[in-house]
Amino acid sequence: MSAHTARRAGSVLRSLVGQELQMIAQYRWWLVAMQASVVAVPLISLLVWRGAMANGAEPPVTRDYLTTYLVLVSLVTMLTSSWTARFLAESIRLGHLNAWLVRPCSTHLAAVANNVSEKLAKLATLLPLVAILAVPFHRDIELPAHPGRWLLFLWALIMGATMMFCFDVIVGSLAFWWDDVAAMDRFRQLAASFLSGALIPLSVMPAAWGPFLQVQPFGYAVAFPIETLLAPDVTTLGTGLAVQAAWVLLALVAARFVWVRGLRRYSGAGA
Amino acid sequence: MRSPTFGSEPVISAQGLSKRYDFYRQPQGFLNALRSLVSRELTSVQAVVGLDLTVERGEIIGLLGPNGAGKTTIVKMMSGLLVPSAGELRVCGYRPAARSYPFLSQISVIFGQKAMLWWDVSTRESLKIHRSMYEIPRTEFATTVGELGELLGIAEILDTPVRNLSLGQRMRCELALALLHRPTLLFADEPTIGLDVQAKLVVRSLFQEINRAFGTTIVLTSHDMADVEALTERVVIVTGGRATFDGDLADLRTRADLPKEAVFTYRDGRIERMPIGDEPIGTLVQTAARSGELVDVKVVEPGLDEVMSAVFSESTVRP
Repeated sequence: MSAHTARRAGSVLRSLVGQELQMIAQYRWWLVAMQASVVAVPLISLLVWRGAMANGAEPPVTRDYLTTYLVLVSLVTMLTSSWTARFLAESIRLGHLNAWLVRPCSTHLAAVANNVSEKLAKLATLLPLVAILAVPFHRDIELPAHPGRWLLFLWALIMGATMMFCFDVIVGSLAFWWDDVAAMDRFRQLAASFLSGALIPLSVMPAAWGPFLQVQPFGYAVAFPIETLLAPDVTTLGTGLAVQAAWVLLALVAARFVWVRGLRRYSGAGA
Repeated sequence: MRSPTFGSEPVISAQGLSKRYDFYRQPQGFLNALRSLVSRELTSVQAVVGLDLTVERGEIIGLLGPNGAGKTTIVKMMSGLLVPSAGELRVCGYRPAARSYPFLSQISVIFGQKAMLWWDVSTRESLKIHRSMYEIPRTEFATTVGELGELLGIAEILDTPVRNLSLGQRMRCELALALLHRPTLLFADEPTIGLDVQAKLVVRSLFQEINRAFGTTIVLTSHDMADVEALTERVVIVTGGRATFDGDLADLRTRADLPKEAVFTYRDGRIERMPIGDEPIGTLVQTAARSGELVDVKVVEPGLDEVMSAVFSESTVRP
């Protein structure tokens, strides 16, 4: 991609994000309701774990680690999540993609704009909720003070979000071949919610699963970004950063491959 | 950005263009649905067969045919939406299926039944996004929006959310969006569908205006014969995926070979029509006069609808 093309894409993306934010502002109440439900699951998990620990349970992580993890998890899950697959599949099936394919702009730019702008809006509603959640547990929350760790966290978040978006494009693009990709999308969501660490920290899962959990991709969307803040020593994160980068690269290449191959089969249903 | 060779070559050049759709048959009944989980029947439909077509810069052509004839598939291939199964196709000097920026920035597509405008925001917001996409300078953008606003009578509704516009208003705004970047080639698929008479006239005169002012080539697909008659000199009839006629409207009328009609109006309000064959018109008038007191006699050409109907019903018609 030339610098000129990147500038043009950036300009279109800015316009689309602005427009998406305008639309979100019109339909704002669902956002608040949705974020309240996003915080509820980790809050329940946090209460259950703390209750269990108070009654003698000994998880392989400290109480501070668990508390900080579960306070942050809703934020990280939201920031790295993607919801494009269903809409992309519908566009392919119903021919709505036509309107994008005849424009001199990447079709995925609209989905990226929707993703970014919704996350900005969700962040504005989720941050206060997370802050409220953190208040009663603030004594057990330990966050690093060094800005470098926060930059690393930001990098891991962006990489995790990119990977999840690419997975979404891959699943959505299967609609070029299949009539219904909903089942596949559901399986992916199930795998992601279980293996990403969004429900339970991966570090409390059985030790025997360790090698598998370290190579599977979903953990690099939620558990690993949180780990960049919670790991006692930054030097232990090198392998994780490399594996995450490899998954992102693989996801980008696979998404492009599936998309380009799929477009050749596109029938542009309807007018 | 223009293709280096585009200046000298036709806007559209198709040789042996074909498109085949492959799809799985939908099984009937529960048992067949279960069976289809392990074995499905692949079916092919040849939508376009060996199309040869050349369109020069500045032409307005009507791509016509009955439903399912293949005309929309042709437009989709020409606008880069579909990859042809066989044949050669160059549009504005580019291979459309490659969907390059220089190609896509020279074309525009109006789908009468599908919106290009963003539904939840105003037309002005959609225009701004197109300004970024097509890299239109801000001053040129302001001028063009002003001109289009006036020409299409939409200046007052540019800031109204699209979902609150009437169909006629929305179509005018769709046109503004399609014309903002002054395309070299405009594909208009049923552009007047659902519009009232006045709005149709506006759209037609606008097409004529942009064709005259900017030399924009227009490929029109429409079932509205008034559109065709008002806008196109050249028509290409597509039936069964093949181009079965390519010529002007006069040729088409000749080819259809439908007789003119004499229309008689009687004092009591009755109107009767008689085809004019080899009989002299005087004889027809004398015959008609026996049925009552005549107050008017007119000789009319067969309508384009009847002409098209006659041509569509033929399997192959070569000019």
